[in-house]
Amino acid sequence: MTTSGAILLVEDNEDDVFLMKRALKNAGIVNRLLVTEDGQDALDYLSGQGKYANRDEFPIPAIVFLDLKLPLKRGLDVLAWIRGQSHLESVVVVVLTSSNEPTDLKEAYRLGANSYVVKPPTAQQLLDMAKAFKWYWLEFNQFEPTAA
Amino acid sequence: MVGNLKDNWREEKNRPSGADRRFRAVFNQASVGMAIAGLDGRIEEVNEKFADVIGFTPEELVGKTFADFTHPEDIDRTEKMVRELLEGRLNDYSLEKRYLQKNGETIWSLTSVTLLKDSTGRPEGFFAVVEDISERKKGEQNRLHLAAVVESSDDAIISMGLNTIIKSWNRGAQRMFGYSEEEAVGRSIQMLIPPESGDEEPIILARLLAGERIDHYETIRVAKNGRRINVSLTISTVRDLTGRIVGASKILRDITDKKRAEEALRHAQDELRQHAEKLEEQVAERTLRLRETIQELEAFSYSVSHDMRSPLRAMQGYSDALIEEYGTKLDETGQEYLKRIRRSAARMDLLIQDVLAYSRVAKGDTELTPVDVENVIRDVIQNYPGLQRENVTIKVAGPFPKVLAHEAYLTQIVSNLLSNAVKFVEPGKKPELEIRAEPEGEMVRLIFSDNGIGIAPEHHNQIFQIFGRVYSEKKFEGTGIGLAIVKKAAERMGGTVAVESQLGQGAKFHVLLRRATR
Repeated sequence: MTTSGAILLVEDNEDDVFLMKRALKNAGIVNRLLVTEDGQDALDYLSGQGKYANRDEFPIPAIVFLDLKLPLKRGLDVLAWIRGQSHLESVVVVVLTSSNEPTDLKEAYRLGANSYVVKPPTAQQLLDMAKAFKWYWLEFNQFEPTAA
Repeated sequence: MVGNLKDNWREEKNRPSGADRRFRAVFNQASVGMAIAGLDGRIEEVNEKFADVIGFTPEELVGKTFADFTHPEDIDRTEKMVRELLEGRLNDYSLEKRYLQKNGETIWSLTSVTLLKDSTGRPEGFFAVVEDISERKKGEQNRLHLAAVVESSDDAIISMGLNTIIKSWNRGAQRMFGYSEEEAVGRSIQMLIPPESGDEEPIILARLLAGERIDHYETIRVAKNGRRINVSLTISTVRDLTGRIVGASKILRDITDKKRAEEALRHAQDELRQHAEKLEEQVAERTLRLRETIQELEAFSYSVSHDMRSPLRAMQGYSDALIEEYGTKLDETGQEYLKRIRRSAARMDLLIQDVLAYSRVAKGDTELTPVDVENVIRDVIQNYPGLQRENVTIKVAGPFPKVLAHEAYLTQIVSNLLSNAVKFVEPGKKPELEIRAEPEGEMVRLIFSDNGIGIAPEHHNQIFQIFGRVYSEKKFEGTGIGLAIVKKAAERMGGTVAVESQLGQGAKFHVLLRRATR
């Protein structure tokens, strides 16, 4: 099981951040969890700019949970940017959004999302999702050694 | 010499002299009719030609008077002239008069009569020369007839010489142009041509002279008072007896009214076209505005799905967290309040999702492809927990012909109908569902039957409307949008939906969709 790979949560809603952190913890996920609050912040983090220059403190994540509706830069723009960076090729991007619009879904996959999940409404469902995520992505999925 | 004709005649009969013989020859062979009559008017002698003209034999004529075969209407005129002769006021007269032939026909003649006198100067008889002028008279009559036709015509009929000088001018021309015959005849036809239309008359004449045929054309002429008149003009050549072109005749018809009507029609057509164009512009403009509105609505529903659901998620999430982590510190009432907050948030989320589903179906794309209905039904049964409860019986009674559908819409229809069927059941009763299909021409009828509480006929329309709930939320939970989505989805796929039900006797929902040909 991968415990060393960091998880980056790109989410501007602090309630969602709280509930997600809680669900991941309750699911037994011990990987480092880092949060960026908007699209530009996410880009700065991933490119190691400014306050994120220290890679020991802010490592390149193995997995990114990406909200679509973000301030400054749209989630889909962040996704497109990630897929244009050679050093981020193997990063798993899971779109985690409240939108189940077919256009968002289609565009996310077109831009190279690995998975698309609509935010579950209840704590129980969120916990179920976190457990399933842990079971699949952290226990079965193989990551490139450099990324992990 | 003529005065002694009768004497000579008589003498000549007994002792013919050379001169008399020659006279007799002339008398007999003349190309005009000749007759000699006594003072009492009785005919004594006629030549062959006379008999010919009058239509009797010479023998029949001798002894008759002129009055016997003169046309009754001409007798008075004739007798008046004869009196003039006898009273010595005239030596001879000429009269155009009619005779009645033996066969009853009337002929016109020019009759010239000379009073015959003896050697002492006393009248002793009449010598008449009769010429048949019936043909000439007929021609004259025709001419008069034609002239009357020309004169009475409403059209202007004008003739002119090659020098464009007007030779004749009928009353129609006078009425149309305002010039009297006296004013017009002798002047050039140019006076009728408006200055702005140039020198067209000589050009037309030249074309006529060159042998070109000009049927009729429409042009503008000017009246004496300056008024412009739209005319249809027919022009043809006038030839003399030798066939030489000596002028032209023209018939002009006033078509101002017709032109005005045409102009009005054209104007009306123009206006109509302008209206149509304006209408199209308006339609285009409104379509654009509508599209903008739709885009705004889409942006709105996008925003609803993101922003409005997010606080609900927080409400649910924190309520859950509160129950899980602090539930033991609350008494039963406190926990119940929390659960109510949670349920309300869940219901609000459901409402938003259904409204979004409805708007997606209402505005979404409708590309139809052949869809396997049975697969869709089995997927829905598998994915909806409520349909897998062990007390629920669902009979999928195939075969199902493929339908032309949008798979997501069809899934929406099937899941909404099936979840309604298991929901609206008397408490304690086992839901029994059946789905089957019947081909119907180019359509396929999908029938969803259940053993539920049924719907009263007066509510059949209401249930397909948004929020058209028939039962209270307390009794059967739901948003009241499900069947509206079913109806909209069926319609977007070119189909229909209907219900067949009585209260307490279950329900049958009929969904009619187009059949896929491949």
